[in-house]
Amino acid sequence: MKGYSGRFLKVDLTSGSTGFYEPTHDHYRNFIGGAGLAARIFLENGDFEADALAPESLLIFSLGPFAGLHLSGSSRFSAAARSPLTGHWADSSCGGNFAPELRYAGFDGIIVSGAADYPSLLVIKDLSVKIESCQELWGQGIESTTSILKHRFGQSFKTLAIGPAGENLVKFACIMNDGHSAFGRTGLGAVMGSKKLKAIVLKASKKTFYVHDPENCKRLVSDLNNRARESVTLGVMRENGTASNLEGGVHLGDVPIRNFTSNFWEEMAEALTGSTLSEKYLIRRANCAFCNVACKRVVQIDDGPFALSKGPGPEYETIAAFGSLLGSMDLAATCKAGRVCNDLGLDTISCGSTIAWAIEAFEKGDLGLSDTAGLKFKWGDMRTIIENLIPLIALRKGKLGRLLAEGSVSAAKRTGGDSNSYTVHAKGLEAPMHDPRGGGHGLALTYAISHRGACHVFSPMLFMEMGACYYPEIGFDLELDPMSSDNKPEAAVVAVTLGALENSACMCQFADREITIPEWVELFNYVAGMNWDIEDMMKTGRRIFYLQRLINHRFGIGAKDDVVSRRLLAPATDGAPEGIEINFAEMKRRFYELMDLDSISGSPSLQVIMDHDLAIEKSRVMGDLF
Amino acid sequence: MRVYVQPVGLLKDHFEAAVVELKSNSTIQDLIHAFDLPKELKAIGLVDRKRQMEDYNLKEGDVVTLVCLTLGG
Repeated sequence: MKGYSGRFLKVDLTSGSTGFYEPTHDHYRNFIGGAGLAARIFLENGDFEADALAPESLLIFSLGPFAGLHLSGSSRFSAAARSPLTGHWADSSCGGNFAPELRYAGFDGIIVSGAADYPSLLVIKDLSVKIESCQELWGQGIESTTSILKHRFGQSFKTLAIGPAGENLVKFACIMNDGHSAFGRTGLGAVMGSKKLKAIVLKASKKTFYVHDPENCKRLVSDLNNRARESVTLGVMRENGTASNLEGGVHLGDVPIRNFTSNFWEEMAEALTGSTLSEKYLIRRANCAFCNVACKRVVQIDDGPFALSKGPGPEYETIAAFGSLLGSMDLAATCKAGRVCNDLGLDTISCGSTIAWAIEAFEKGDLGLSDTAGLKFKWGDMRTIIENLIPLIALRKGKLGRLLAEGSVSAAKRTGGDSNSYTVHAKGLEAPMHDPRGGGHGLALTYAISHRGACHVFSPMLFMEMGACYYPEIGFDLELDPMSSDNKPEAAVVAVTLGALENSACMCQFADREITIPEWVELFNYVAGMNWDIEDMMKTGRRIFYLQRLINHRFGIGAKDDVVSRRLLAPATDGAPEGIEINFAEMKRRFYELMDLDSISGSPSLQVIMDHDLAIEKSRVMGDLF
Repeated sequence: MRVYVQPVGLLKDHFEAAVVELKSNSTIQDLIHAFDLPKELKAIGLVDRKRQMEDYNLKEGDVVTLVCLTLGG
């Protein structure tokens, strides 16, 4: 099938063997790639009984069909596994430069199983693959690991690596590409660490990529790149990064403050927003491979307590997670915290959220000085957070490090008292930095129904509620009121479908806002020869959404788990959303009705299974249908 | 009718805080049109810090915060 290499690299770290795995034509066609195809591969090859950190677990890296195109937004890819943080099916998305290189090398992904006896390095040069010992890298941060690998293999090699957090099986450890892009969410760095796989290095000698219809593909890619270059909204992202809307978000009540206890802090808004970062610390802008948007930041802080050498700067989620969420408006501190987390290999969202929970627990007396090794936690005390707390979590140091390394939900369970009431998550995944009470009630619904837990890139609902995108070709042209639950279930049906497509095609949710629905269909047809119309494509998106739910059903997830923390549903006490209630139960009921999901199991009905050609998949999960 | 308008975030690049004269019964949409923003920038109105839809009827003396969200996050 054009647009694909037709093979995944298979690596068994227990035996040290490597080989190829070839998904069927139908698997590519029905599940696309990225998160969708990874789920299908897990269904075929995974062990549902295996603990997330057991050797039997699979860690799957999976490209979309567009990786390798010189198209803005196309250089992302997915990693997927049973999450050690949540215990159920999870995937995460990463930009950077690894995905196109892997496609050029001749692979659509990598399936890692088993566990090595010693720290290992996977070296890929085109189709040649070696597993090497790398004891000397174990314990090294991401920066030095990346630097050593580039020095040893060459600057043109692309790297994926874990830091000490992944080695120490911190449940929200991330995987970093070339030290600047992350598979941040759901703790997949710990899965890699459990396999003793420190890093993957990769080089393709040719940069070729075959598509189904080269002429039309070239024209469409050129049109889309020009549009991305000229777009006013993407120009804003280029100018001030993903935090360009932070100030506006504060006024709308979208930006969480002090563990989601407040929705308005006027002076913080300007202090942390993207234009302030540009004015104060930006050295240059950076981009994922072939992207004209360049929303990444490179920063330098010359002096002060959080002085920082030139290097990767924070994105919006990190700025909010280590700024407003922790009661701080110190932008330099957010840059430093982000850099430290990157180096140690920690997801900044879950790390910031877990620390926010710990500060509240200390404030409320659920954690005492005997629990915190004598550290006093205070909102905005960034020095303690950066110098003490973050390293202690990554190294699982002491009782406090071991507690917080499990994530906020597990830490609350162990702590007891009322401490679960102020965790902020869905399905055990800490919520990202968009508060549904101000950011949009539909977000509460999509956080809840997301297979991986509270995630803002599971679907484009955030942008739909902002009014940043409309899809008239599929009947979505509503102006949504973010602070109302009206029309949100209907919008969520569109959002989860498009989200499944985006995360399986592995397109960037910023860059692809400029792509219309008919152009999406054309991309699939020109690149991979799908020969789809709009309904074929939308049905594929829904199929992937349903498959992910089937897998989660097997992991014990049901309708009761499609919820968000109480705190996200309690009426806000200040700011734009003050006093407004989210009608969550009705949104969920209606969404279930529209998607034909069982009200107990949360699984798709038999009719849906048949309509979406998922009979084989359902039988693999639940046994025979009849 | 006069209202006080305050731009937030991206909109600061397009206009400054000002008192704006409008016809009576003007809506937030009318106010936004008065600033002739690029069509890609969709402004959202808050009146006395509460979000209001575009057809909200403004009143004399209202304090209107205009916010524009593009993408992010």
